[in-house]
Amino acid sequence: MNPPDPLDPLLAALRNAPAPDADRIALGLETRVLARLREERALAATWLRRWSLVLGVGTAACAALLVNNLLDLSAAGLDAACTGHWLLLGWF
Amino acid sequence: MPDHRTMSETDEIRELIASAIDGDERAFAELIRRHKARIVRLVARFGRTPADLDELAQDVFIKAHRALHRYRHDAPFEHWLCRIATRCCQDYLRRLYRRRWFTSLDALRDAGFEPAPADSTDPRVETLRLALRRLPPDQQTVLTLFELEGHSVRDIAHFTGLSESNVKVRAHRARLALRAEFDLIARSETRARPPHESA
Repeated sequence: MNPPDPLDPLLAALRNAPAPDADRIALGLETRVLARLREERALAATWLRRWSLVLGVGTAACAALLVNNLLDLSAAGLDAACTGHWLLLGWF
Repeated sequence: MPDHRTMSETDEIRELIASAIDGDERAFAELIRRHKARIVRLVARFGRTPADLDELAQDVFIKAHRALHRYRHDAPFEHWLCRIATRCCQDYLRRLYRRRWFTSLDALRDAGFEPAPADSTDPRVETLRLALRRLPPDQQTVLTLFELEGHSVRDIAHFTGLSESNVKVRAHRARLALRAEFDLIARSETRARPPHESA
């Protein structure tokens, strides 16, 4: 039979030791988690809006240049396309 | 939120999870309220400072919220949460291990960590706690779950994603490493102590 390990009683003491700060951390944890979730959702929504803006303006600019090249528009036509971009940008 | 009066515990959890997936914050808050004691107790075995402990506990539930739709009800919800908590703690230990700052008890105290008053009656328990914290993250996780949390090898295998035989091997090696670290720290403390104290 193996002799008892002297670490066993120490491990038992550590096992039964109260967790420092556990009660304080548990108090109101759900409120803090929900607040963090809302914060993360708000941050994600902000990023989505920013990327939508970038993609939207980029797509509009490409489309305007394509139309300009296809129809061989005059400078006035190009100005109108640019105004269109800015209107779209404003809408975003 | 579901009516809890006529449902069994499992059905209630199932309903709460379904509601939380649909975006019901009160249902998710109720899930946290029911399981936070267990999860906080588990992460408290690993968290070095109160701030780390709070962040770890929050991380577990944030990750659980993101993964709720993947929960298949094939294991108790608490087990599923413990698995997430174990992974969070392992990641945390690996970050700490890369920095190694926790090897100094003074650095721990500087960072706000204070041992529980109940432990300070026996300095050897504090030495053991320090020795445990100097083990590699994987050994520390397995040994904490097995020796301090009292989980079965099967549960630990489920939490960590290791095979049962691998858990047994790691627990055995961790125990040997703990013994070696404990002796090393105890010897260095004896040498550091003035002769009149050690007498």
